Amino acid sequence: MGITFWIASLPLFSFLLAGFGSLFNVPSFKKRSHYFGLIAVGISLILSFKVLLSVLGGEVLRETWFNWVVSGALSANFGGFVDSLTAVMLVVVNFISFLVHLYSIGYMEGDPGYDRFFAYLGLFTFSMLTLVLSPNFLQLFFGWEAVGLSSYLLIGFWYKRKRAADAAIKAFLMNRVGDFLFILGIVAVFWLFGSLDFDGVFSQVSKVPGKDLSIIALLLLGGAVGKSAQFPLHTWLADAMEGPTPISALIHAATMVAAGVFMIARCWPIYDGSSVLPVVGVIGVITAFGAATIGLTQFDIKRILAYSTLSQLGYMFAALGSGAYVFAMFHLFTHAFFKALLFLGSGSVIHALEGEQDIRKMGGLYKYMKITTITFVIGALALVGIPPLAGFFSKDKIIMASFSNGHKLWWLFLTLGALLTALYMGRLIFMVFFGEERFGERERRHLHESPPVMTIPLIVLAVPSVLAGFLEGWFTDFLKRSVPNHLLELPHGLELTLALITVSLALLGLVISSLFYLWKKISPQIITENPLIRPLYLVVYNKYYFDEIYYFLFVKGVGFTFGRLLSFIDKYVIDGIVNALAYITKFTGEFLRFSQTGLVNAYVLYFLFGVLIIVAIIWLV
Amino acid sequence: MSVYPLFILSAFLFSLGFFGVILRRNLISLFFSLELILNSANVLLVGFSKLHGNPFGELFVFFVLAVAAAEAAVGLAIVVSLYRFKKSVNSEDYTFLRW
Repeated sequence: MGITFWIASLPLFSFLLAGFGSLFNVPSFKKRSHYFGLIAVGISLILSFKVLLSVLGGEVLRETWFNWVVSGALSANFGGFVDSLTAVMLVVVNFISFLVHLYSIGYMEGDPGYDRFFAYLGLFTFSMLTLVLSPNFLQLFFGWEAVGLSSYLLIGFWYKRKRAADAAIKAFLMNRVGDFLFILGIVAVFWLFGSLDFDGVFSQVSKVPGKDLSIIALLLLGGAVGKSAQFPLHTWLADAMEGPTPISALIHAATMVAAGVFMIARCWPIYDGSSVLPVVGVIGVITAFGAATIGLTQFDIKRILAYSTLSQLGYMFAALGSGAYVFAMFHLFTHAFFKALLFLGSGSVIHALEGEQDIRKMGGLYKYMKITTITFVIGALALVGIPPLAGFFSKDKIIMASFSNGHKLWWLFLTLGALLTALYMGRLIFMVFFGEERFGERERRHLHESPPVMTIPLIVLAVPSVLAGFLEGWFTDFLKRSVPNHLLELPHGLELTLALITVSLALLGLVISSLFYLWKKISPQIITENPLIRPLYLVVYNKYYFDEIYYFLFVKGVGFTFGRLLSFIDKYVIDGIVNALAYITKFTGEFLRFSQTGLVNAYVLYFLFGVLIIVAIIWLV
Repeated sequence: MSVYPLFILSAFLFSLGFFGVILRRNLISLFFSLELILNSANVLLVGFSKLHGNPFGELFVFFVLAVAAAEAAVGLAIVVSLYRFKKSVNSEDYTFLRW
């Protein structure tokens, strides 16, 4: 027990209370279910700050809650292990979760599943806190799976919509692919190290050959790729937009997708000892660049943000891949704030337009929703990386780290990705908040700024989105206590040039997008309708046909063809054997029953034959 | 005195009884044939008792005879009740327990 136990279990109590109300349909609980979550996560947040302070003082908390598994050499406790990495994650997760709770009061108002929603929120927060607190691989896996489960429940929250239910199943199955590799990795860890405790494993890393470490690192990476939605397991994240918008904020900012990055940073000794880091980086760069291009072509406000999350997670993986673990965590830290802000802001827009998500039917919203517009623009500029907002510091560090650690090609694509980020975010802002109004008369009458319970989280999140970048020095020093930051120093002038390139590309992106969408100097149709570019546009618009390829390969290919084959084998081979056995027995019996004459003398004759056969056998053998 | 004629006698009695059980259809004859099989065992007991010079075998025969007497009484009683049941002592008339 101890403070970490309460940090993790308070949201669980909120889940149990709200879930109790939801399950037994207690009306007095239903209206109040948000209080459970707010109070529990609020206290948890305060405790997290307390833990952060004590960790700042140089302490490393190791608490054992209770013994979970003891089996032979395998022994695992539930416990809390808080070094600087976990302390930061605790604060971020609880902070975002608290604001999402607050926001959901307004956003989910009147929804029939109000109490169920808050129950799931509590479960989600609990899962993620358990994950980041884990002192061993088994608890990490528990949190890992619990996060997957709660994301499934929340993506499919409106389960009566087929698309939502399908998206939930898709997210769960995609995650299973990664989780399967992850559990193999954990088994490999236990096999090689004979222990699952982080301390025990990481202290013995140097004794294990690099090839074995690489295998473990690759398997664990598989889990991270699934959970953090990296190429090639990225397709679930965009579909996860079917869930309620606060959930998207929670998933994208703090709880779900951060788990992969956190896990790799936590397992840095394994990754440092292996030769897998370039693979991590390449996956990250592919995702960062590819997702950004897709984001450029989408029309659903939440999907654009989803692809931007994919892209930003790609940046984090690229940072991990170039060995700059701290910068990856720093980007995770700043990204949490502005991505939560952006999603909550988009939720505010969707709320105002009664569920409209197509940006072609928006425009000119700044007149109607001032607070949302201002905060959203702050979040977008932070994401684009305009100094001095938070995203500039973290993203620039990642781009610089990839350059200085010798990955020039990564650097090129990441810088281009920064340009693309500016393009799609500029397009999003100009199409949603500025320009002519493209919504109907009915929506106009309904248009309104969201209630304070929704705008306050936006304002609160805007503050760290602006200021978190200035924490860079403090953050880097703090995290370096538990995670290394492999970085070759660059000459100061070159460093400045790189930053200038990134920033000017981001500004250029914004200018280009305003040319297209704000001032209407160029029509986007020139590009999309151009016969030379159109095929390329269609490929990108259809997300590189990944869904179709997977559908063809796995649903059609494995599912139908292989399934048919298996069904054939089952029907005719397996069932055939069983049925044949039954028929043989039956016919033998039908035939043999005629020997049962009922005549005593005949039985004696059989007896004689039996004796003779036994005698013959004894004689011969 | 050699005991081997006793063994041969026993084998002869056993075979006679066995073929009787297989071939006769009259329940009484069947029953007698069974008694022959039993007594072939008695003869064998006596023979081995002589061979090994151990009187317990011969003693045991008396017990067997006593049991056989009781068994014969039970057996004949069954035959009588069967006769009352179907007015027949032919085993071919008692084949209800067949397929």
